Amino acid sequence: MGETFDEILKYSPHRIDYVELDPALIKVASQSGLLSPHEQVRIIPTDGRRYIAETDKRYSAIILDLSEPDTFQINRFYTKEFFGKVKGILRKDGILSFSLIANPNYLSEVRLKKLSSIFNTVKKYFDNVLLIPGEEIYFLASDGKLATDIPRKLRRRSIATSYIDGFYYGNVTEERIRSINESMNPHEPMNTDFQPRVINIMFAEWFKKYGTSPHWFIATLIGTLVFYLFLIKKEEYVLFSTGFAVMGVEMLILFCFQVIYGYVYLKVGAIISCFLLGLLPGALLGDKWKKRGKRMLIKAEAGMLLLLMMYLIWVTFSQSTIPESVFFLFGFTFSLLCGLQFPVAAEIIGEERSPAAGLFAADLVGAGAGTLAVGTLLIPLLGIQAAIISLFLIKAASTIVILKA
Amino acid sequence: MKRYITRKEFLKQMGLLSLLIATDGHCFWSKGKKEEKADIRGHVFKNDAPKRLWKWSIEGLHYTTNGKDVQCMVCPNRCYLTPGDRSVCRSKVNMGGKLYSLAYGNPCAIHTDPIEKKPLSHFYPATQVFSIAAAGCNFRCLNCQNWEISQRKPEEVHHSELFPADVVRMAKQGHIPSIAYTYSEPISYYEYMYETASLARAEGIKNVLVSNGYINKGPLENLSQYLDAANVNLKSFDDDTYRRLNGGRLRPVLNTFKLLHEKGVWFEMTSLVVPGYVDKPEMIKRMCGWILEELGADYPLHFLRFFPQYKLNRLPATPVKTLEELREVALREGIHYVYIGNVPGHDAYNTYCHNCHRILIKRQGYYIAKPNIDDGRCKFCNTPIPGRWGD
Repeated sequence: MGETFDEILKYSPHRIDYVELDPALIKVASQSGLLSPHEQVRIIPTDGRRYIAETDKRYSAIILDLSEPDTFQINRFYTKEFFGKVKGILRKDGILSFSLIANPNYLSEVRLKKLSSIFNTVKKYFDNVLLIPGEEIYFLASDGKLATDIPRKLRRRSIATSYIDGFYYGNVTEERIRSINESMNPHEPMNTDFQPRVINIMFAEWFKKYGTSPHWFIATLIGTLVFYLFLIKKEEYVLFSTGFAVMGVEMLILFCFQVIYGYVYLKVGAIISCFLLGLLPGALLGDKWKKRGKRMLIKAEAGMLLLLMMYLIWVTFSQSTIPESVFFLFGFTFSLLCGLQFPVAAEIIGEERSPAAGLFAADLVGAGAGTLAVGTLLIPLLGIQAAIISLFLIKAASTIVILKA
Repeated sequence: MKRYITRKEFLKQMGLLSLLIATDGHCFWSKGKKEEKADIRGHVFKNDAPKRLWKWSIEGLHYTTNGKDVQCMVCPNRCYLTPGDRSVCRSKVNMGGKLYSLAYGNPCAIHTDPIEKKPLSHFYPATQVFSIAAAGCNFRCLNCQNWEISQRKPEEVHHSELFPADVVRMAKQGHIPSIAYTYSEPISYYEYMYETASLARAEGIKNVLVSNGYINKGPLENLSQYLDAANVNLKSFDDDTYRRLNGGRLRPVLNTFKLLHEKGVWFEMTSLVVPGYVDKPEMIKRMCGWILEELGADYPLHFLRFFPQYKLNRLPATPVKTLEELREVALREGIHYVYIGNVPGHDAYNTYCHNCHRILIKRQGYYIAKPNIDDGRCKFCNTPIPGRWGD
């Protein structure tokens, strides 16, 4: 952190704005001497994406000093939406720079995909994108001309550095630069907020690293579910799919919240509480209207399908920053419909067939499966949109089951 | 009234019971497996050989047969392969009762590097080295920076086609004085390296081995007739650490150093200082004691800074202070040349005369001002400086 400032200060900039999400990190870094005060440095404790969206300042250079995009929190700084906003606050011919991990001696297929996806995403907004293969792969993006002979440029400005002066010509040869830039695949899909292609690739990289594969997990999950579904009653399936959808939506809300606001851990409790809170009034209403039977179940199903449709429309066409309260309200309403279905389904099955345990089990199994499937498979592998569509299809199937019953 | 359960209920109960047993069983089973995790040495891949050999195959050197079974004798893993098996290093297979290498003429990395990058600080400074690698490794280091080629089968990586004669021709065309077998583990592509090295020697090009040193005596003796220099990792001085961190054993590596010394091959030693594994001054002290007794004080020792890599990506980078402390220990014990690597701008990149302590080679990364070495001697005090210095 401090070392980055020391390097930037060599260029004598008028001002350095350092945007850091975590105020505790700033405090610890200052106390431990990693972050010494500089006249030119302004520390802005906020989310980088929010800052870029709101600021009216214009910059000559923007440096992303982040870890690999293997979480939604970090991925949102490597997406089409983000790079578009970055371009908006750069001066004419300003430069964006960031680095990603890759072996400088060999570019594996999975890392080629990662670099190509991000290369294509940046290229959408900048005329020139140059990859410099150092210890990591450095991306430089600008509408202006980009030079590869960086040591010469630094010498001209009398800027001394330990690494560039001594190691650049040995590590970053013309052959290596040409090879990596020519190897980018222009057909690799772009990385977006809600279609996080790079997270999917990072997952693949993780599995390669540990020489394992998610296929067994997927097969076991599907096999167990099919076995379970074979055993349950139709009404229980309705609650299974509702449990699945509620937890799936909860996962989606958590991920989207993080994408929009950059943080989620502070609000996790509030989001989960909203989901839990909805169950009680739902159950009370369901108890009141349980005599309406199948009609009531269908109405609740229609409500959930409508909410999922609204979610899909927002993700596909808008993606605008919406107030936090909308997320809370959405979760509350969705779980209210879930709570409403429980007593109605129990009433339909009838007390003599011992519905409570079976229904509760169906709801729990559905919830567990929904959490696993949406959180670990659908969102990382297929993206937010595909996850919503999957939930929609599962709920649509349960609606058909009720209609046919 | 007596109540019978229905067939459906019975199936349901049995299903749940089996799930429960499977889950519990898995927990106990995993617990047992944890004990084995301390030793990460690799295993032979049973029935993992490709259906047929490919263009980049060659019959292996140094192996024995037992009917249709073969045993590779190149490295101390001594993989015993029944037909269709693949070796620990992933590069050797038993096909029809013969041992074949699948890493011959198919390098996955080809670059030209400064010789200092290997690192070699006392071997023709400021020269270039043509560097090649094929896939495979006989170790399983948790911190491997080249795991995408070292922990992969030759068939799993992108590669070029460059047979031994082509390697030598390319080095010659580029006026590059040395060829390095590096990046992954050259012992796993021994046949490719051996033949290239013999052709290179005939053309007056030098051969440099960059390795973990996990090789048997016979193959190393044969190879060393063509070797001009080596950088061999001394990953720690503790057999247990070798097993846990690298998936190998210490003793064979020590034997490699002794043999290279005996054969007069110039070598330098490298220790990557991994926090929590290889950062104990007491161990370094023992290591230096062995070096002094068996090899003498003149072979340079490089302490490299660790950065989070591969499966050890949650460890912090080695504190520079730790590296300096270990360097002090080694110098105090009597090693003449101790370097620190991966810390740009550090003074311990320079070469200091072990007698008068003045700077012989001032290094700024790979950039080197004219060395203060004349005819292999210190310009200031005329002490012979160990290494290969050229004209």
